[in-house]
Amino acid sequence: MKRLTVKKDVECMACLSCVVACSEAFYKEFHQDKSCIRIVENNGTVKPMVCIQCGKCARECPQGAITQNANGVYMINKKLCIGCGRCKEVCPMGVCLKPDDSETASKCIACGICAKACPMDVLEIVES
Amino acid sequence: MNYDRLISIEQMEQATEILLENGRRVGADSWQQRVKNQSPHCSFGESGTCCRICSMGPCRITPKSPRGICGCDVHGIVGRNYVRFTAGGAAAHSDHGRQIMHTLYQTKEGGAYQVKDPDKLKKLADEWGVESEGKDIYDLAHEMAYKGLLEYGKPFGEQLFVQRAPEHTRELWEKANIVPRAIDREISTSMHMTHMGNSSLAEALIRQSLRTGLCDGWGGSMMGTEFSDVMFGTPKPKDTTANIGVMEKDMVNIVVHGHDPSVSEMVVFYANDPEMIALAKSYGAKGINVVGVCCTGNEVAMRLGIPMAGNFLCQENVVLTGACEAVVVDVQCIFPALGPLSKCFHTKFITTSPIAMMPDSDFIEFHEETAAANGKAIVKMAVENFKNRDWDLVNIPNLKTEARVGYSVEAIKKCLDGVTNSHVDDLGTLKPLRDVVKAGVIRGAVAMVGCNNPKVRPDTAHIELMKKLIANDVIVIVSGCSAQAAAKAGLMSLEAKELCGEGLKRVCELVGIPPILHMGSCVDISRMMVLASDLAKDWGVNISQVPVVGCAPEWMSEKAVSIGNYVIATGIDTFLGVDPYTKGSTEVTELLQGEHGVKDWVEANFTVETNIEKLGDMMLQRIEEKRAALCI
Ligand code: SF4
Ligand code: SF4
Ligand code: SF4
Ligand code: SF4
Repeated sequence: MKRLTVKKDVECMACLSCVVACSEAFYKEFHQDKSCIRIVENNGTVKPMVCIQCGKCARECPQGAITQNANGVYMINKKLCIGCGRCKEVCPMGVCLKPDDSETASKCIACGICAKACPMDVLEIVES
Repeated sequence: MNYDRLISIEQMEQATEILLENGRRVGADSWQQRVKNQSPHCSFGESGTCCRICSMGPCRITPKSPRGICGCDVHGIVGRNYVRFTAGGAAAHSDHGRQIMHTLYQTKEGGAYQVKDPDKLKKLADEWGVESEGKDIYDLAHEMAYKGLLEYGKPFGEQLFVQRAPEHTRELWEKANIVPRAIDREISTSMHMTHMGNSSLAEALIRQSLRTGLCDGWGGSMMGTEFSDVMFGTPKPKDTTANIGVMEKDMVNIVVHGHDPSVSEMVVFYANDPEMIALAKSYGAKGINVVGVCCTGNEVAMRLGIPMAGNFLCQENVVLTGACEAVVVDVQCIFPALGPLSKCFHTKFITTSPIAMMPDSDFIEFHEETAAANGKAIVKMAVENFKNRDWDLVNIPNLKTEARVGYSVEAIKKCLDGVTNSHVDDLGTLKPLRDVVKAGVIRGAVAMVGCNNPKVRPDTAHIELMKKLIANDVIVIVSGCSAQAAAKAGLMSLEAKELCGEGLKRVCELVGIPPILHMGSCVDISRMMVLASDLAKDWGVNISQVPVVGCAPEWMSEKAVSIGNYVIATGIDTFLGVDPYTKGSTEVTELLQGEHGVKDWVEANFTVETNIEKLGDMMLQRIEEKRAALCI
């Protein structure tokens, strides 16, 4: 299975380069709410929140619009998606999106654009 | 421990919460919300390791990219950022000072601006080697203004006020090659040094930071302070009130905010104008109430007794009361948020300076030449706005306390004269202060200054540290937003002596002072430099030996860093509660905070500690170390 992971021993600088890269790649603009990776701060520690390919969104989708591809990555079929936003609600990481000005939802496809943008090499795509 | 006028942090926070609720009703934004939106902060910026000085960058220093594209290492990048931060602060303070000198140049008999303290002007003339004998006071004022303005760009020589420093201090500056030259030159040199392809040697950069700080503290700021006194009067102890409850429900409320007293003095003058008061009454108001925020608030509080509505992070609160007819601002520390916020209420947001122009404001340009007309127009606009109040939104939290403010160096000496035996001792010295410190009745002094910063629970560090220090018999001198924090909490009233240790309490009773002495605005930290110099001279020791330290627990602005530089350069150890974007470089950190850096040059350094309890302990410890070294 292919997925994006966060390395344990590397410090995230909260520079948001990954967030910018993701949102610009898929929405052609930078907006924090349009990124499938989030940077959060908890008690002074900064942490990237990424899609763990858990499939909760897929199970919740009433249209069956989210399915696993050959690499095990959950993908949204935009033709089937009706934009109800249920997937967004159940995502445990808060990274499944349904922006107000978009017809359909979107999620991390493990493309690695964010990992390339990260100056600290915090992120990596792993296949297991 | 408690006396009834003490206002707790929790009470202030409750009041803020009520005001925020008021704001939510009209869809207002707030700094509290914006802090959430901005978090987490980028650590490259926060540790000073991002360079965007040239367009090959921005370059960020990481384990895999230890140098910028030009090859600059992390120490060079952090050091350059630090110099630029300092230069920004020195520029702001010094330009404020320059504005004051321009105003001084416009003074005339019977004019909007006059010389209110001719004796001080003559003393200053004497210091600067200008003949005052037989001269018309206004001719002298103009001559001094011109000479002062030349301090900004003189091709050769050093700042005139440097002569005020003790000889030892001047020698240190000489040796370290940091004697401040023309003010504009130090700022330009800082910008030049940090242009792409110049200095990347941390040591050279820190040296220039100190020099730039000195051109502020012993140049621009000092001029701002001294000549404000000449025009508006040297502060004397004065009673006033503080906290948000100083806004009056039935009156036209005008909030003055910013730094330059030239504007606020005029606003206060016209708020007392019978014609304006009659106009206010014709609109159903009981009168006109001017209150201050930030350093402009300090300036008019200590000279005119104008109430202090709050400090830096209270600037939105005054609008949120729904009872603010106008916020009149001059320069510095003004949230651009005030524009959009004022639009949620009836409040007029009036900008007055080409230096601070903002969207959603009414701009009434303030000129020294037309100050009277400008001041009157501003007050009129506020008064006429009273009728637009939405009474449903008026909600002024009932928090108000008393404060005694206005302790200039002159005022402190005067207070001390009261306990001097005039038959035996000289008057007008700091010797009585020296004697009580020597005797251990007072352990030492802390100069507490600086802003608020949401990185610290607002005002908590100021107030908790002050309480701790006075309980340990350490007298606290304050300025800027730190002063307002003290005033808001009730720590500047004479009754605050109850919170002091036995020794300090006795001194407060004897001399008739509060344990926290209000020395003014942030340019007035120059007063503290004069105080430290005079104390060292009267004592016969070096400034660095006197048990005095500086502290800025909640600082945020570039000006604060400039101040920090000149305070340590003057020989006073300084304790910071917020890191100055330098932790990314071990070299810069060592230079500023270690034993072998600035400490070798000027006998003082910085301590950065974000744990406020610890910060307080460290200050007390440093004071005791200094005492031990003096064998007292
Ligand atoms: S988007 Fe959220 S719910 Fe869907 S697979 Fe990723 S982590 Fe799980
Ligand atoms: S928004 Fe689209 S993908 Fe998400 S649950 Fe609804 S239909 Fe499925
Ligand atoms: S790009 Fe890397 S360092 Fe920057 S916020 Fe994202 S994960 Fe953190
Ligand atoms: S000056 Fe050097 S470190 Fe700074 S942005 Fe340019 S190349 Fe990068």
